[in-house]
Amino acid sequence: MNHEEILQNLADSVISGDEEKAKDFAKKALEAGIDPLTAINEGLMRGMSQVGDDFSKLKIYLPEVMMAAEAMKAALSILEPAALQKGTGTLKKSKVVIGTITGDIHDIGKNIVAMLLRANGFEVYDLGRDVPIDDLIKKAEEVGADIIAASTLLSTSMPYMEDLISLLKERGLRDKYIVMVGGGPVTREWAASIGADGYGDDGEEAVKVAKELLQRVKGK
Amino acid sequence: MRSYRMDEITRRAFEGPYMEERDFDMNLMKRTRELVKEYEIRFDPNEIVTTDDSMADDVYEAGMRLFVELGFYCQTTKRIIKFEENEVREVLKTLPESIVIGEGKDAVIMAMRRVEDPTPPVIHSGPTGTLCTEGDIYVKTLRSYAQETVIDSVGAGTLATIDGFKIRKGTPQEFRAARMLARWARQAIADAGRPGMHINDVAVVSPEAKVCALDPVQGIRKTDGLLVAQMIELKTSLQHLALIEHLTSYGCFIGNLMTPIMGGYSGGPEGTAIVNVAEHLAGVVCYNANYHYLSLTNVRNLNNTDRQGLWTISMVGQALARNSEIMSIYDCYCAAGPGTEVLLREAAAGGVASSVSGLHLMGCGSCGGKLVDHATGLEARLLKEVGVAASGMSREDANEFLRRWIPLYEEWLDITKSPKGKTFQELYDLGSAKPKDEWEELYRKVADELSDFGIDL
Repeated sequence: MNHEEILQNLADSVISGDEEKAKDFAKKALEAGIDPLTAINEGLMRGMSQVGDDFSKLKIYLPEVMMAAEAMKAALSILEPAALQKGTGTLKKSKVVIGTITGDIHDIGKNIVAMLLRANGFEVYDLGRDVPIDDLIKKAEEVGADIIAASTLLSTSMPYMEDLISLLKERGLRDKYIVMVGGGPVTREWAASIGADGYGDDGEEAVKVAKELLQRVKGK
Repeated sequence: MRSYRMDEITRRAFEGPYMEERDFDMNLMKRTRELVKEYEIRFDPNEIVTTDDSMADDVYEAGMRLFVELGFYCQTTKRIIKFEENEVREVLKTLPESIVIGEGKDAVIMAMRRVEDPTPPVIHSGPTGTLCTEGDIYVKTLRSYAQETVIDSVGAGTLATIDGFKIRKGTPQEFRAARMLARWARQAIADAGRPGMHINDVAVVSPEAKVCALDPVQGIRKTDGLLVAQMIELKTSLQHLALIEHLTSYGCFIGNLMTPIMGGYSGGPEGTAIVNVAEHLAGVVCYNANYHYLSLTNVRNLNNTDRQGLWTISMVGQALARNSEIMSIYDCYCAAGPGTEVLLREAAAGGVASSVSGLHLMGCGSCGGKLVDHATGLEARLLKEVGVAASGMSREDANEFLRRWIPLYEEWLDITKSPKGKTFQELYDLGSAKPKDEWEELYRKVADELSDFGIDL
């Protein structure tokens, strides 16, 4: 089996959510001398990108995305240590602190975004739901986050997103973080009006925007 | 269990099996997939209203099994409130065939409907899931529904501000909003000359804030109702159960608000139908609900008027109508906004699919609830009229209609592309709360199209 076939099988294992196949081809990739980062980026990530695209078009649903994420995690448990051992140093991940903001206990949208961010190579700190804004900031400071992401399904929790940005400004931290917001009642226009850096209509767009912002704002 | 069972439910919420919520979600996801496979439930995009009675019965049975096996998750205690099947069936036996909602001359009978039932559906209308401007605009918005003669009930709008103050969950302003939403709803129905009309909800988030709306004179009366939400999917909290306790003793109607997500943890339409049957059963047993709001939304487009959404709604409706006395209400969520033909076409499809399947009606939500004041009484009028016209229609005829009708609007259901339309203020005369000509003309145009399709409003 040539390198391209192994990478394709890695991608397919993620698309089909097959954990065993993912682990198997992760090992095969290393045995064949494929650079672990190449296996991650051109195998697993390619598969996950397809999964994200299919979910965005609703060709597949959340359970299939969760299974794909599990398969990817299984393969990463083999490829990441190998990459670190090679000492390439390029595994440094961008960090996101995410949560459903104060007053809201709906978390399916936030969970989808967190999962897709993880699957796209971000290090995600998911604080759960009904998260006070100062907890988001504290965690971001603690882990040295690049992005603070807040979600809500409730109009009555949207003001807390404004409060998050105000508090960052008050504490002189606004320029340190990219702030992204999203969720049912949140619109692109409203996000811009409160001074958020990014917004996504869905999980797929949130990942795309996060990547673009990291490159544009932080040069990552 | 006896009919008054809150102590037993609370005991189980404290003593039931402990589980992390993520594990509950994973169990629900896996078990639902297995049940879809075991019962061979299949979504058919060309047969929105299934004519396969055995499939509807299978969905009911699978929903019962899912509820009994998984239980109802209490987020506060992280424990599962579980029931035996015989306990669920005992409670189901106590459900009435009909209830009377509202009072005096404005009261209406809401009866259990069956598949292809000739009895017209009742409509609980209002700006469901839509942000509204406070004060006089809100009163006029609700009046626009109440003065439509075909409308049976109003309520349900959400406010962004109260007295100009942004409403945050759990604040004094949220409590005030609950009180004022009820008062303004009373004023709207009085202004429309229908002071006894059933008010179906005040849309505030905190269960404890909802209690502020209860007021036999100026607020929610015993002849009105409030919705108590489940969390997605198949979850509750002690706060919600406490609200049930109070509403039960107050004596008003209780609506079980379910917001299942098509494409979420329960997967596609087949799994979503099974999970939603389980959510109805949870509403019967734990919420003591008099009626149930089937407020399904698509995970991406936040509507339920696409083929998957309508199939799911019809399947749940038929499953319940064939196997129980659970009175369920189709909460119509459209991708487009008022002032557009697309929204009226979406509502018409929803009206047919739900009415034929034994459901009552609620509507209409629009634009994913993202746009303020995008709700008017006219789309609710059309939803109800179509529901009435479809009463007694055969499932075959409903499918024939939907096969030709859905292609007229389905390309516009992507939330990023669907036409947003206009606000209530732009579409209505604010003095009389009646639709302006442009909106009436669009309604007439779509009504004429429906007539060409054999549905006379």
